[in-house]
Amino acid sequence: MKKSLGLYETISKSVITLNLRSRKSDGVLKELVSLLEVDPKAKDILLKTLIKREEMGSTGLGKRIAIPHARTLLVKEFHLIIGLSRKGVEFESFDKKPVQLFFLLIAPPLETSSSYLITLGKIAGLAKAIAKDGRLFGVKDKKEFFDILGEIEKKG
Amino acid sequence: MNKQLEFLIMLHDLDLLLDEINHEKKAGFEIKKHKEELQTAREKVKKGLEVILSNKYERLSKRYGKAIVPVIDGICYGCFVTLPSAFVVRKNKNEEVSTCQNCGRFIYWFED
Ligand SMILES: [Zn+2]
Repeated sequence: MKKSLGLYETISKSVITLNLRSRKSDGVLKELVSLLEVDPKAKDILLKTLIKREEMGSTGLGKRIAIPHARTLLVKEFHLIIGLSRKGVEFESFDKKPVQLFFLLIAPPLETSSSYLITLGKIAGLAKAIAKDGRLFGVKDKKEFFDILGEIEKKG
Repeated sequence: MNKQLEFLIMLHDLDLLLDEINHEKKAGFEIKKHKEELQTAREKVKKGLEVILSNKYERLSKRYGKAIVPVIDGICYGCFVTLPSAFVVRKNKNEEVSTCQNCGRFIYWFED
């Protein structure tokens, strides 16, 4: 098992897509999970877990950002998948706004509870700064995305 | 993947979800559903399991916390014992439900 990573390192190693196509929550979760490098059967199971998690209460934080997350037996290390939707996704955020920016966090069960939750907390904190800054919702490419994200993180 | 193994994994992941409800609230996530509703979902998954396996799952959970663990590079991540290589080198190991010969926990195999 890998040791927990700092947020910058976690983000710079993440997979990112800037053109999520789905407009519904289950569909967008499926798109995000499809980017994980695990076997196809594992993706199906993981998707079910994530949907269950959303049923408990939306991971949409408001301000067009959501952080779907789960721990699962099916991964060996921490994964972060970032996805941007140009048109927005219905995600039952409490402010009722469609979600455009997704941070999907997947952690193994053996990851110490704290490092997973710390990363979760850090991203939630970063989300506020991202919403205030606003530029990430309209970036053209990945380089621009990471440049701006780096800037926002430094300021915070 | 073996269908029964799938249910075991789903049960495991659901149990993790249940364990973390309080942490989730602390982290600032809104949890609308009650534990009982998740328990119902859990029972539903359990119904997919053969009785002998679901009983074993509950027994192992009580004893160890986690009833199913990954095996990575031949090491059981429940008891951290290296499993016999003849047991490890077989192909398509997730096509059946297997248990660690040392600690008895169910196994999910990571194959490279
Ligand atoms: Zn063992």
